[in-house]
Amino acid sequence: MTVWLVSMAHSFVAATLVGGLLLGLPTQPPGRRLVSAGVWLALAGLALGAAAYLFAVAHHSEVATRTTLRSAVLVIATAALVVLALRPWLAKKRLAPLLSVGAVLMASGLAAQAMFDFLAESADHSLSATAVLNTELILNIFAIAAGTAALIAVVPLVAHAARGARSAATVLLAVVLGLQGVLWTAEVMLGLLQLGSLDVTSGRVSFIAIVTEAKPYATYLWLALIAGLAVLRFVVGRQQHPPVPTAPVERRRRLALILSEQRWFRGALTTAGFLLVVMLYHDLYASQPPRLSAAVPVAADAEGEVRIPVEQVKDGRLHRFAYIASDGHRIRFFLINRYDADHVSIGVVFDACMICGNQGYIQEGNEVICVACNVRLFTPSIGKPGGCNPIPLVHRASADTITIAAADLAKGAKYFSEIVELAVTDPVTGTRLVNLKAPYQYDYGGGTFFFESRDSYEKFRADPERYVPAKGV
Amino acid sequence: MFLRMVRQSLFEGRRRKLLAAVTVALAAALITTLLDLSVEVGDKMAHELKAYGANIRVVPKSETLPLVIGGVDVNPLRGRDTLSEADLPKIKDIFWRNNIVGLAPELKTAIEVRASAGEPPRGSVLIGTFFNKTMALPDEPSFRTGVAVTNPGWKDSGVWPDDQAADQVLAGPALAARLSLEVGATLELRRAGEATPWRRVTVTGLLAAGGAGDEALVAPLAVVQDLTGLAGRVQAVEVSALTVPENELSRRARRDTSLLDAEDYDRWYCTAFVSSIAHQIEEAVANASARPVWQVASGEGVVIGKIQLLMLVVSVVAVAAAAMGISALMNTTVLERAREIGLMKALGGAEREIHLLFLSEAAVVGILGGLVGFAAGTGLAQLVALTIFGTTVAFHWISLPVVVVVAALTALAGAVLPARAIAQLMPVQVLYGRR
Repeated sequence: MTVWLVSMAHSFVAATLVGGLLLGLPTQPPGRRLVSAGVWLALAGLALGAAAYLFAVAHHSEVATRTTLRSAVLVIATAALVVLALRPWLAKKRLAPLLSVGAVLMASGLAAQAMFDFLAESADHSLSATAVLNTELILNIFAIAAGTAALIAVVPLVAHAARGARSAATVLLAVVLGLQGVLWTAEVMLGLLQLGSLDVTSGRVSFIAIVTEAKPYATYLWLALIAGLAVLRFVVGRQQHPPVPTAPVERRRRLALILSEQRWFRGALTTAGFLLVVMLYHDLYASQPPRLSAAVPVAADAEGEVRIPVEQVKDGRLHRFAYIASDGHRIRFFLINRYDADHVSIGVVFDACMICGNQGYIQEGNEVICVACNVRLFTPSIGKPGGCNPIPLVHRASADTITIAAADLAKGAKYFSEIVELAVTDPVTGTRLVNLKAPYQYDYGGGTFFFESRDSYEKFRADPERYVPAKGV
Repeated sequence: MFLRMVRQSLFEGRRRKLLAAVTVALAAALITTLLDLSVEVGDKMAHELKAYGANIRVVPKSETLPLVIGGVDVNPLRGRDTLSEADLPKIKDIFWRNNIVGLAPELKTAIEVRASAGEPPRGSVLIGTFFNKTMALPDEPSFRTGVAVTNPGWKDSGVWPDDQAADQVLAGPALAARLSLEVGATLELRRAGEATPWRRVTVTGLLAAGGAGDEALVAPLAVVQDLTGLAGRVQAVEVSALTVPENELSRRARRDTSLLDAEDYDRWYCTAFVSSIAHQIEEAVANASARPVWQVASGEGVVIGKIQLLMLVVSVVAVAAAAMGISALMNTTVLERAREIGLMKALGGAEREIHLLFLSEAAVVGILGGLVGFAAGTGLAQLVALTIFGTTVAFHWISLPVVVVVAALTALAGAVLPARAIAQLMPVQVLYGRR
């Protein structure tokens, strides 16, 4: 449900912000006809964006279409920035009609690409699992309606705020266009790389990577700026107005004005706040993957074995353990009773899957679920290889104890990428080291050894048996 | 101030407003009823399609040939082609074998039954399957499977028949009622149209209504194979699997797998979507076609799906009628209160504010009507559901906001035209009483 609102916000907030600024910035308020022409052209832009998306899907040319749209908008935005820079000079030349045409064109271009983005982003989500009316469908439609209302409201709210704080609004327009321009440049560049029209260089790739990393935060920035502009307008307005006069008519007029200003201000804060809260909820909570339960740390005993009493793990829950290998790999494994309390058969497996990797498994209710692919496991099959089942772990089971050899656990190191900091000793010199910072390491006899220098490393390699204690590493 | 004006305005012409609210309530009741029914079935379907388990039906490929001419199925191979029973263990040998919880074969034949010798025989259907049979697999010699695993809800009372026994059956509820059979009763059966000797069997349990068949008998597979002479053959297999519901990834993959990057492709490949399991079963079993079975989607869902358009049209007509009624009532109000409106204008009330007053009033009337209609419609929905599906519907809280919003919009739509008349009122004319 929130995913629809969030993808709407990501696609449309920048466009509505720019639209509102364009509406509010001119010193002469735009005429009714111009505004209605702008609205119609923006609607036409939305339709164009939708048509472009449908065309792209039909012809499998999403990348090319997106790049074309982005390039067009990028050109318009650059032109707008130039116009903004030359504004004082242009105003004298009476180019106002041309500027209006440019503003309307920009609004429709932004609308087109915002629609394209929204459709492309939401293509992977379905409104409903089935064609028959259901709760999920209604909730999603509500979310889209709420998002549409909030985003439409942004335009007049920003326009009103811009009228009261013109110079700040002008700077804001330049900032928005500039930053969006950087984002669009990176996307156009990425598109050209994907299409093969541009050569891949490390500079270009790292530029695209940095911009793509920062992209999701842009919407937060725009919402914060909308709220900031409204605050600025409100504060400036309050300071500019003289104290409330005492003459009754004047007084009532002034009070009405103050009331209306307060309403605009509250409206802007509520709208921006609503979108911000929904986005934060989605990003920080709703879209987070499930967390693994804590793993009980275990260590090998003197015989190099890990022993776990059956009594401790036969309750049908997933019991997760972690073993730290000599090279610092944190190896997770879990034990679970495959049947019920009367038929105890403990499955002993690594907390990793051959295909999905080491994201692990969680238990929800009685179901064991692979975090990576969300598949439910048939619990009696845990311990058998194949499918998305966890990787079986070699062990010995007696009536009351599960025994796992540390060497068998260490073999699982290749399935896990998590390495913990470990205090180790250079076997040659006896110096205390940290495994992550040791410059040299060497695998020998099922263990990993760390060295402080090339010298001790070479010495060890030449005659390992001299340095390795007889049993237990 | 504005709220005070709306409140005062509401109590003017109370009777007329009551009438308007009743008009909206009638439309709202109708919409609530249709919405409740639709959402009930829609939610069940969505739940089924999003569940983490599904049944897959495996049939011979020839069964799925679309040979329908003029609405009549003319596929000559329908019901004749069979699968080999020896292929069943292969289903537990696919990549997702661990996700297959159980499977049950099916072999049907028409039979005649009678409660005891001397009575006239009646026609019925005998279904052969596994109940709780041990099927040896290479890596699991004691794998137990059958309808006790795949369709545990089939049996209503009694015990499952023994898969090795040749004389134990489950009886459908309608058949049991006709022959007045109870658990432990005996009956005789033979293949329809064949003068073979009668076989005497014991009813070990009764089927639940709506399970395998109300008129059918269910027996161990070997019995039916023996009766029909189709040794080692089955007509269909029902497979119960743990699956992952369709998600964003599978939809993307379905559009075009080349859209996935390497990591996503691996994740998709590693995921037990019902379609991928069905596909692997088709690969494993020769000459087979596997399709997921959706219970609700193919039952109530079809009914609702077909009448959904009708429901929509009825709702639109109801809303339009209510809006027109409101429109007429509001027109009278505006004419009646022309002097008041004139006075407001003369005092400097902006047109938009007077509009807002009348529209808010209409919205309040609409919301009140919607709430009453919702209460009435919820009751009505129970009645309709009882007659159509034979069950009551659950309370769907989601209908409340939808109905209230629709009711408010109905009242607003009705009020828009009369409210425009306000613009034409000249203070001077109305206040002097000369129009």
